[in-house]
Amino acid sequence: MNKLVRPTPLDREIKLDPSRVIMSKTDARGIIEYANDYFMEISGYEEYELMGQPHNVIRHPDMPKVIFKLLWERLHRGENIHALVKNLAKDGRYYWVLTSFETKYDDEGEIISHYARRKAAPAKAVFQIEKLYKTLLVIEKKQSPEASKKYFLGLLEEKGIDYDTFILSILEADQTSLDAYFGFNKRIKKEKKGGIFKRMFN
Amino acid sequence: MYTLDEKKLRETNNKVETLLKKHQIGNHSDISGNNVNQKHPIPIDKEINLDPSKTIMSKTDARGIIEYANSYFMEISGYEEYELMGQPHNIIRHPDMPQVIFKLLWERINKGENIHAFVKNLAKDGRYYWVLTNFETKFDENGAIVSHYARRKAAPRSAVYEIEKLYKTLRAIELRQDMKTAENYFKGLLEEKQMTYDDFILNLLNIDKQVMATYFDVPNTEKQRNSKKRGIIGRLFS
Repeated sequence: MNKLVRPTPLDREIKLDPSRVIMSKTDARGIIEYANDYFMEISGYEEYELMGQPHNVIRHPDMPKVIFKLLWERLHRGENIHALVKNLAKDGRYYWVLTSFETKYDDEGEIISHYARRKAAPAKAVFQIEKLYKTLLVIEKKQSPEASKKYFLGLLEEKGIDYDTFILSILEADQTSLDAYFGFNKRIKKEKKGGIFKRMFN
Repeated sequence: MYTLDEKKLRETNNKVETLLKKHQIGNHSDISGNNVNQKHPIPIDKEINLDPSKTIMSKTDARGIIEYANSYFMEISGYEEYELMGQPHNIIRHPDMPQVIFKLLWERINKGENIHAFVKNLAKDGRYYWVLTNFETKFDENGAIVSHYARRKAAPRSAVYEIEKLYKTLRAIELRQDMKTAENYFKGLLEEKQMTYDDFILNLLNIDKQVMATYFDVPNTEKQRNSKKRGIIGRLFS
C-alpha cells in the first residue's frame, strides 16, 4: 500500500462554506474508506490518493496531541465529540473545522465504521481555541503530551466544567443549536437506528 | 456538488490517464487471474457506437466460457466465431473497467441474480463500446448453474458520461491501492446517496424497474407481450 506523505504547512487559510459539510467514513482504526466531494475539494487530494490512508494524513502539526487522544477515547466508546480541529490540505494550506461523529457497530457490538461530519468553525471560537492550542502544544513539546493533558484537565477543573460544556461556551451555543448546525434535530433523534444515515447525509 | 474547476479537472484527468497507461494490460488473465493464451488487443481511444435497437447476446457456461454469441456480438466485437467460442468472456474486458464492478457482477450472477451494469468493452481492433447488461441464469435439477445468458444493449450517452467519472475514480483507487479499497469507496458512495446499487443504476438512466425490464426485450415475458412501450428507446436516447 502506498503511504501518503504529509505536506509542509503554509500559513494560508482555506475558508469553508458554512452551509456545506465535509464528510468521511473510516474503519475502526481511522483508515479512510469514503470521503464526500467537499472533502476532496477542500483537502485537495484525489480519491485514489486518499482512500486507504489513515485519516491523520489531514492532521496539522499545530494541533496538540491531547485533543486527538481525547477524540479517539470518545470514538472508541462510540461517543460523539465536538472538537475544533485545524486540518492540513494537500497544498499545505490549513482549514479549521468543528467535528461531529457517529459510530456504526456490527451484530457483536464491535465498531465497524466512524462517520465524521465537519463544518466550518466560527472565527471567534477559532481565535480563542488557537491560544489554548498554542499553549498545549508548547507544553507538549517542552515537557510531554502527558503534561499537556494534565494542564488541560486542570484548566477545565478550575472552570468547573467538562470538555463538552467548555466547547459549547467557546462556540457560544447550546446542544440544540449545535445539533441543528450539523443537521440533526429533536424530531429526527426519535427515529430508529435505521435513520442514522438519513440524519448523517441530508 | 462543487463548481467545476476546469484546470483542476484537466490536471486530474491527465494524472489518471498516466496511471491507467502505466498499468495497461498486455496479456489478459481470466477471472482467477491466470494468463490465458488469446491475445488481448491494445486499446485505442476510438468508440464503436451501438445501434440502440439491436441486442448483443452471449451464452456462457457457469465460469464464463463463451458457448454461443449472436451475430451482432460478432459484428461489434470484430472477432470470428472460431476465435471467440471456448474463450473466457473477459477477453472482451476493457482495462479501464474497475475490477470491483466485475466482482459485483459475478457475485450476482453466481447467485443466479440479474445485474444491470454499465460496461466498457474492448473489440478486437482495440476500439471500445459501452453497454448496459442484463443476465439470465439457467440451472440444472440439482440447482447448479448451467449457463448464463447475457443481453447487452447500447448505453445512453448521459449515463455513460456520469458512470465514466465514477469508473475513473474507482480504477485509479484500484491501481494506487487495491480492489478492496475501491469497493469500500463505492459502498461509502452508495451509502451517502442512500441508494442500493440497483437504485443507483436506475437513477442514472432516469427510468424505473418496469421500463428497465422492457428495455431488454426479454422474449416470452407476459409483460413484454402486453407491453405497448415502444417509446422506451426514444426516451432513453433523446
